[in-house]
Formats: sequence, structure tokens, C-alpha cells
Amino acid sequence: MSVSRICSLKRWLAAAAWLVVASLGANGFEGPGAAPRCGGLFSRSASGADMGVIASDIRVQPPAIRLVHHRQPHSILVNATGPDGRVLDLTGQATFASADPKIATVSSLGWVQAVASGETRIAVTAGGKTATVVVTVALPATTPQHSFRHDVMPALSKAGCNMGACHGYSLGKNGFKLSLRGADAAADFLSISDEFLERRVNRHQPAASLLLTKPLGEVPHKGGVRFDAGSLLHQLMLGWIADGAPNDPPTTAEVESIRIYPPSAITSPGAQHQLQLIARYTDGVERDVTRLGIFTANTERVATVDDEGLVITRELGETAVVARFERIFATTNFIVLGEPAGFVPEPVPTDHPIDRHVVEKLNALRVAPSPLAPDERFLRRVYLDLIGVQPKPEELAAFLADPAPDKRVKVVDALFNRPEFVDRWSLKWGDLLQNSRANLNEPAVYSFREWIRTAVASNMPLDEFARRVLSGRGGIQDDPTTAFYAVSKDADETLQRATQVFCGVRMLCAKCHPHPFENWTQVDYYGLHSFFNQGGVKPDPRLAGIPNAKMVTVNLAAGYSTNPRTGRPQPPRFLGGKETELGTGVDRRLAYAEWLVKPENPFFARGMANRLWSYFFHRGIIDPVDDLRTTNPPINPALLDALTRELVESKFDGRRLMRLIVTSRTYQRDSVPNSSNAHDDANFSRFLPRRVPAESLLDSLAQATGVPENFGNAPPGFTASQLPDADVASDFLNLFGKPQRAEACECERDDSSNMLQALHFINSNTILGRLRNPNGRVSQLIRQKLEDAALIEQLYQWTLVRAPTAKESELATQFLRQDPAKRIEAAEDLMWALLNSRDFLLIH
Amino acid sequence: MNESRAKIRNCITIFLVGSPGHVDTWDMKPDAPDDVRGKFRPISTNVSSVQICEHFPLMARMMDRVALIRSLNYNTGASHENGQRWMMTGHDFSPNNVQPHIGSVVSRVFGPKGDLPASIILPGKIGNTGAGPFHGQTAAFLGSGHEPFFLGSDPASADFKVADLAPPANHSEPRISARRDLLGQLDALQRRADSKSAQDLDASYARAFNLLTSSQTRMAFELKHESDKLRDRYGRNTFGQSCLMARRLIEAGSRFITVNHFDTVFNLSCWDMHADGGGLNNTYLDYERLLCPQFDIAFTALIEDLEQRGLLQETVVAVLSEMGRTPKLNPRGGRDHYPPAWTNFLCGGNIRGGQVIGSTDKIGAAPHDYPVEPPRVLASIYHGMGIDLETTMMPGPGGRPVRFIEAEPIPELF
Repeated sequence: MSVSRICSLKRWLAAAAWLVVASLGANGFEGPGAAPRCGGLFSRSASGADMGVIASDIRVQPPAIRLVHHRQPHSILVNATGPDGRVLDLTGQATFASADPKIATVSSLGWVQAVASGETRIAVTAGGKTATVVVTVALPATTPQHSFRHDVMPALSKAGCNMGACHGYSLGKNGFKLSLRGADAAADFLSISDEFLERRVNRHQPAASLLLTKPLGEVPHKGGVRFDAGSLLHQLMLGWIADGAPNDPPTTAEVESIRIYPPSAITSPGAQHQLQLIARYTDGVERDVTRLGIFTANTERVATVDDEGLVITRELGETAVVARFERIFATTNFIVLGEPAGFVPEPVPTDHPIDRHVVEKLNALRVAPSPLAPDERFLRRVYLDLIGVQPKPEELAAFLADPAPDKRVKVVDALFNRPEFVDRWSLKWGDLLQNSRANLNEPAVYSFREWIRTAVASNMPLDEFARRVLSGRGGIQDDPTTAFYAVSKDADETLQRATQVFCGVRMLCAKCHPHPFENWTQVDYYGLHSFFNQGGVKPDPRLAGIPNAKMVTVNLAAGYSTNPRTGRPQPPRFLGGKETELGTGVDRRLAYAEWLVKPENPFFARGMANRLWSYFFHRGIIDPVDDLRTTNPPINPALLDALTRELVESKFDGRRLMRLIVTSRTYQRDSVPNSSNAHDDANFSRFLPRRVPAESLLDSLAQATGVPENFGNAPPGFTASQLPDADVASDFLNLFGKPQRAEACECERDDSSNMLQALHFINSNTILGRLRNPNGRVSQLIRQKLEDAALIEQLYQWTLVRAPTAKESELATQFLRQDPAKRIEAAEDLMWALLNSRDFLLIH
Repeated sequence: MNESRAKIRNCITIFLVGSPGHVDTWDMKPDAPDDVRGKFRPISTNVSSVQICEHFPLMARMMDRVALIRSLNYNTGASHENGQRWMMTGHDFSPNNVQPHIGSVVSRVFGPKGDLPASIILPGKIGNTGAGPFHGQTAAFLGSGHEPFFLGSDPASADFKVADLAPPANHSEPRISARRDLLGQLDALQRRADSKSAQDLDASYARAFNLLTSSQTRMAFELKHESDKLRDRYGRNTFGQSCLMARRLIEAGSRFITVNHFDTVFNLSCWDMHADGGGLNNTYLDYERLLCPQFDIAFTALIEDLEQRGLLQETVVAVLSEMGRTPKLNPRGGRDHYPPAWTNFLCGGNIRGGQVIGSTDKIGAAPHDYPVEPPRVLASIYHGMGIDLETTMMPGPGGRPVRFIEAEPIPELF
């Protein structure tokens, strides 16, 4: 029998099973029936799981099931391994049989339903192999009532009722308000059961309750039909109302954690994988909540996941699939591999921790990395990345002529000592710490800038850097780092900035409601708030008359912050850690700083390592870099762990980590793809070209054309990388995405390309004026009366930092010789074309 | 977010920089004392219950298309910039929390329809209006690709050309095209190292060259293709010709056009009627002789023209200003800044014309009923464009999805 035949038969059986359940009235359970798992369009396991190719025994998940509730069945997953090591999901084609249906029954789809206490076994057969699941049933004497927290709240979330666009909106919708994503069961119970003269919940005529008739579409509902009659969600809510819409006893267990199966999978395009989601409650009970989980795939190009947790893989690549139950998240990682002909694993390097972990992952992915980039491309890349400007022709020539085998390492070490290194990395920190005249007065901006520059120049360890930035007190003349606090308008802003910059965690969402993609709640948020609420910013009385002179004060007597949800003071609580009683009389900011920079802190070293990595690859190992959360897992955890370890063991030596990165083969790889890595944009198998950032582009443009930029509102002679902030008159920098320093987010820098930028490069005076400038590069070279070949070579070196190829040279020569009377114009136009070409605008 | 192909209506916003006095224009108080009533008299319109200033005779004949909102107000400060921020972004933001222009929001979420930028501002940027550089006409956190495209040139002048679109001076057409060919050939010889950034760059250049070379888009900026009669009808001045170009740009596929009526309030004849005898010396004379007629002619020409081309139903037209002006004349016979009450109006799209939302008290000092704050006007514009504010989000600071505006549209408008 074909797979699709089996599937349709199973669908029919499932529908029949549902009829039986439906006839029992509103006592549905979460098992078979509600919706057939075979799906509408896809027959399960349409690819890959051909019976003949199973290389292993079948594996059942879980091998043993314990059922303690009349209405809470458990699913069984059936997996096997293919000959190529990939995971196959056989759940849809397996057959299941219960040894004792008086103890537990099993549906054709593998859902095990308790019948009576006792023990039995389920025989599972697939692909000619068999396995056994041991089932223990321990039911209470009477069928438990439905629970608001365990049945209704998950149903409201699953149906989307409490989404931000629906009743979870802060003002509710159409007079009915729920807590956003089910954050507050107590409040939701009140608004469902007591408001509106009991029309929402009609205990006498449960089916007439608005809570059911609206989402069923039986009466007009602006939010549309949310579930069908007879569906699991309908059963849960109807059952609760029929039980009298009871509140839960105060001892009701809460969800403690959730697990997802499989925890990761390497598979093929077009395959299907059923997920299983298990919740563990505080009383130790485990429950299969797959049917109540909310599933999303982070990269839908690679795989999609449906409402019931069925993953369908699509294109080659990698994606996390995120499951949410109540407010807890879990993720599983799906790697979708092709069949590259003749793939030969790369020997795993042992001499460099980065290369080792990257190559290990690439071998698992059957992706071959690109070879190392040629010297001139490496040189331009490492110059732009480390010091923010292109190499000059003489620097290129010296590097190419150097016969030393370790010349790439030598040039890297030399770059660390260049003044432009300080410019570039001070600029980065200035962005992140939001040093700007939009927030501070000019003396404060310049002295904080100077402090940062000194820290970068002396390679101040990153832990010390963070501790000092977080400990500032007094005015700018007492401590320039007070600018960090002076930027914030209140403790909220400070805690959000500090957490985002130094932990890589975004807390803003949790200020008003539980974070939508993470387990943070207002307890976590106000726990952080209490570390920062002693700080204040006042006008500096010693600098009366100086505009906007600020002073950071610390009121040691200040109590804890109030959590608006509970109305109670919230003791300080380390992110993801314990509450701590610090009380008054101590500067709680310092306690936070000490916690932050401890080597075992789970956020700081990891966040910094990830951030530094991203500056060289334009992508974090966790990406976005300042959005560390469960639902955004690292693409290569071993690599991130190794970098984190390096950073901690080197006592937070940032420069050392940068050196480790740029001396890796991984960083030096060519950007041209091979046959197996063209689709890889996440695992560092080649260098991904990206647009040169605003300041580097302008400084490189000025260097190439020999015409510096004059900025208004900044000291004359400053390069773009040296500017104190974004408060300068430069259409160019604005257009190319220089951050305004209004946010503590890396995302504020915009390195994307757009049409207005192209127009600017094609037609604006920024470019054309430089080409025509009598002191500019073209005029200088013309005055040297160079032969065509030398002129072309010079123009290529100043713009693209390489010699032209023979073909390029030929084309350019033709262009120069078209009209001898217009050689200067032609040289201008050649340079114009080079500046507008990809090789100038991209780091590659 | 992927609604770039979504069918939404267009919008033309006319921004009256300087702010007309509401009591002198669209919310007249003929029965008030002399020092409130001012110099002008009301006239009847083609909507029997609505009267407007005698210096808008053409507009009076099309009041049935227009919905006046007479109860606008806010309370955050009385500078031009406060009002510009409110009416262009829906927020009176601080410099470290800059909010995007409504046209940038539309550009970011719905994208361009063709080669033209989705949001264009005519004729140029708002310059100095007294209190700083934050006028609410930037893309803010939405990215530089969604900055409004500023024309930067006067469509009424003979040597009009669009900043980065016009061929550079001293460059012949053959030279420009030879150079462009060279770039194409050189680019083709460079190695293809693909990535999202590289693709974006290619696409940006393709769009830019399309814009530069496509006669259709270039023609959108050329008013010479309009008949003299129509150009005369709009008024041969910067504002009139800008309104005409606004129509051409909507026709050519731009989504959101903003026409700034003046770019400063200093040393020129504009709506900022302080009558201070110095750099802010606008008076009734300016209103009567220049400003009211200029507006009346261009605005009505635009509505007529859009209507005749079947574009009015597809285009919301909003006439906005920063605030109102003091109900009581100042000692010099002028009026000063006044955010507690003023009148703006909407028409086109699915806006129901011929009605008045809200009213002010006997002297125009405060809303009498149905007070409306600026965000509701923006919400109404979005709604009028057919955007579902409940389900459509934009990427906010840090990529967090945020609503366009935290306000409900004014239901009576539709």
C-alpha cells in the first residue's frame, strides 16, 4: 500500500474516531480526532523515508509513557536513521497496537489514551522493524474538572485570542481585554468569568457562551473564525464552562519547562518531521502539549511548520523551529542538506579553534569552504575591517612584495598599532554608548570620546571597560564615563541600554508585558530596574551657566522599584539569575557591574565575543548580535563557546580575540562560492560581500580621489571615522546609514544599499566634484604624464586596491584612447566607473 | 511586513508651513468681538452649513469634497517644529527618539510601486523655522532607503532640475552614456561573489539607472508636457507648480507626495502672521493678496485635476499645518502661535466630504466638541489610504514590530 493510501486511510480512521468521541459529548480529549495529522496537501514522509533505505532500528520517543490524566493523551514519534546518517520520520507510516486496550488505547496516529490504571505495552511497527513503548497509567479516582490555567489559557493562546492585534491589545478589542499572550491568568479569569453579566460564560447553557460562539463564528466576530466546532480548542473551552467555569485552586501547578523532540535534525529537502512538545509542571507531572504548542520557523525558506507541529523542509540551509507553550519557549534546529556529488570532507584543522569548529560544522553540512582569498583581496578586507580605510598603493606593493610566509599575521599586528585603528573602534563604542551632542553638551561628548579613545588605544580589558562605564558618578570633569548615564532620560532607558550593550539582551518588551520571544517577564525587568533606580541626572551646580552640564548622582537611600503588575517593590534580580537583597546604603549599580563581568556570567563574555565576531563577518554566530534569547539560538554553539572561552581566558583582551579572528582561515576565505557553498549564508564557508560602512566608504573615497571631506559642525581635518557623533552636516553619511546614536542597537547602523545611494554615487557632486578637482587624483596623475597602462594601473590601485586584469586593462586602454583630445575626461570617467563598481562599494 | 505589492491608495499632503490663523480662514467667528473676528468676512459654500473665508472663493464651490476638522489641538509647545513633528509623524519626539515621516512609513512597509521613490517631498526640505532641525520629515529608524526624496528645486523656475537626477553640468549626453556603458563592462569583468548585499547593490543601481534613463519616469518631473492652460490653472508659482508636479508624480507611481508651502518663516511672505515689523512681518495684506489666493487656486486646481483623471478616489489629499493662531489679535494686528485649537482638512480617497468634524468655542480658543489630537489625523490618513492599522506593523527601533500610530481614525470621516 502506498504512503498516500495509508495516509488517507488513517485520515478516515481518525475522522471516524472523532465521531465516537463527539458522541460522548463535551468530554473531548487532546488525542486523535481533532485534526488528522496527515495534513491536507502533503502525504506524510513523501520523500526520504522509502522503506528500503532505513539503515538503523526504529527509535520511539518516548520509550516509556506515564499517563495520569483522563484527557491528556501522549503521542509517540517514530524515527530512524537513513544510510547517509540523516533522520527519517516514520511516525506517519508506522502502525501502533496496544497490548491491553482496557488499560490504554492507541490511535492510528500514535496517540496513547489512558483508559484505566495499570500497565501495558504499545507495539510499534515501521519499515519492517518493531519497537515497544511501555505505558503506565495511574489515573485519579474521578475525572478531574477542566482547569482554567491548564485548559483554557493554552487554548486562548493557541487560538490567537490574546495576540497583540486582538484582545491582547493594551486597550482590548470590542470591550474584551485579555493579558498579552496570556501573561496574567488571574486577570483573564476575571475578565472572562465575571464581566459582562456572564454573557461571555453561560454556565446554564454552556454552548451559548460568547467565549465559544464568537470564535466559532456563530455570531459576528471581527477576529474571524478562530477554531472549528468539535476541535480540541473548542472541547477544552466548552468542557471548562460545562464544569461550571471553575477557578483553579491556589496550589495549581505551573509550567516549569518545555522540551521539544527531536532536539535537532539533519534531513533532506521535501521531508516531513512531526515535532513533539512536552511540558513539565512544578508538581513533576509531564504532559504532551504538542497540540497546544505554537510553532514558528525562523527561516521559512528552509522549512515551514504547521499548526500541529509538522515540519516540512524546503530549501537547503538551516533554521531554528521555535515552539511556545504558555509563556515558555523551546527550539529545535533543522539542517536541510543536499546531495553534493563527490563531497570530500575537509580535514579538520587542529591549529586554530575557529577553523576547527567552523570546518567541523561544514563537514556535517557537506559544504566545502572556499579557498583563501588572494593577497590583495585579503589586504583590502582586513584594512577596511580593522582600521576603516583602504590600503594605499604603496602599502599594497609592500605587502605583495613581502616573501614572508606569515606576512598576513605581520600586517594584522601592524594594523593594531595604526592611529586609524583607534578611530574605527572608538567610533564603534561611541555608537553603542550613544555619545552624541543630541544628548549631551559638547565638552561632555569630546571628553567621553577621549576616554573611549584612550581605552581603545591602551586595549583596556573589556570587563574593566564595562565596569567603569557602569560606575560613573559626578560630572564629566570627575569622570568622563558619566556621559553614559547622562544620556539616559531615566532608569528604564539605562537598564535597557546597559542590558542591550553589555548582555546583548533586549528587555524593552518586558517593561509592559512578558517578552514575546523570550521567557523574560516584568519580574525580570523590574529586578533589573532596581539596580539602576538609585541613579539620577541633575544639572551640575558647579557649572552653572554652561548649557546642558549634567551630573550623575546616586541616591543610596532609594528603595526598590515597583513592579506595576503586582504593585510591590521588586528586589534586584540578576538577569536569568537569582533575586538578591542589597537594600539601601549600597550603590546597586556596582553590584550589577560586578555580576556582569564575572567570568561565569552567561551573557557578557558570550555577548562580547559574538559582537566582535559580527564586525568581521557581518553576521553574529547569534544574529542579530544584540538579541540573545532562547528562540534565537547560535548557528554554531561550539564556535561561540570557544570564542567565549578565549575571551575569558585572555582576561577579556578584545584585541587578542580580534587577532584570533582575522588570522583564521575562516576570515581569510575567498568570497567566490564553489558548487557546494553558494547557498550558505550563515556558516562562514566563504566571505560574504557586504557594503562598505558609511564612514569607511567616505574616507576611502577621499583617499582614492585625493580630496578630503570638510564636515560642518566638526573640527577641520577630521576624517569621517573621527567625527564626534552624527550631528554633522553630511548628506553622504546620512544616506549611507551612519547611526544617529539614538539607540543602543547595532541595527541602527544601516549597511544596506538603496537607490538614493546609487543616484548619489552616479550623479552627485560628492563624486563628480572630486573627480574634476584640480588637486584631485585624476589631475595629479595626468600631471605626472603617465603612459596609459601606468595611469590605468594607478587608478585601479587607488580605487580597487589591485592591478587590473589583462581584459580590464584592454578595455580601459580602449576607453582612454577614444579621443586623445579628451583624455582627462576619459580618465575622470574611468575613475567614475571604478568608484561605481561593486569592487569598490563592497568589502569582498 | 511583506506587503510591498499591497494595493493601497496614494496620498498628497500639502503642508502649510507657518500656520494659517484658523479664525481668519476655515473657522471664522463673525459674531466675535473685533479683536477676535479680524479683518476678513465669511462666505457661503456649496455646503449650506459651512462657511469659510471670503478669500477662498474657489474652494467654497467644492466644500462638498472637503472634510474640515475644526477641533485640532495639542499641548506640547508652540514652536513650528513641535507642530511639524506632530503632523508629519504623529509624535512630538525628542532628538534622541526621532520618529519617521508618514511617507517614510508608507515607503518602508509598502515599498515603491515602480522606479520612482515611494515618498517625495516638494519642492525641498523645510529649513530654519526657528527652533532646531527636527521637522519630522526624515525616515528616522526606518533606514536611509526610505528617506523622502527631496526634489530640491523649484518646479516654477526655468532652470528647474532634480538634484541627483539631472545630468551634471558640462557633461554631454554621449559622454554620460559612454561612461555608463564602461561601468557595465567593467562590472561584468569583476568576479561574481554573490551575497544579499551584492544583490541589493545591483538592484539599487538598476533602479537608479532606470530612473535616470527611463523617459517615462524622467518625464514625470517635466512640467513642459502639461498644457499652458493647466499650468496657468495651478498658478505660475512654486506652490502651484509643485501641486501640479505632485499629481504627475502620483500618476507616475509614487505613493506619497508632500508639498511644503514654504520652507522657512523668515523674511518672506508666508502664513506666519506675527506682523512684527521685522523678519516675521506677515500681515492681513499678505493673506489677502498672496497667500489665500495662491492656496485657493492651486488646491482647487489639484482637486479638479485629480477628479478629471479619475485619481481623486485613489488619492487622499490632506491639508495640514503646525497649529492655529491666537484668537485675539496681538497689538500689532497680527496673530501668534496657537496650538490649543485649529483647523486642517482632508479630502479624496474614501473621505466623506461636505462635513465638519468638531468645533471650537465662540472665539476659537479651544475645542468645543470632538477635540482631535494630531495622531488621529495621521491615523485617518492611513485609514483613508486603505491601510489596516490593526494588523499592519512596521519595524520599530531595534527591529521590534510597532504600530504605525497609537490612535484610532476618526470614523465620521469615512
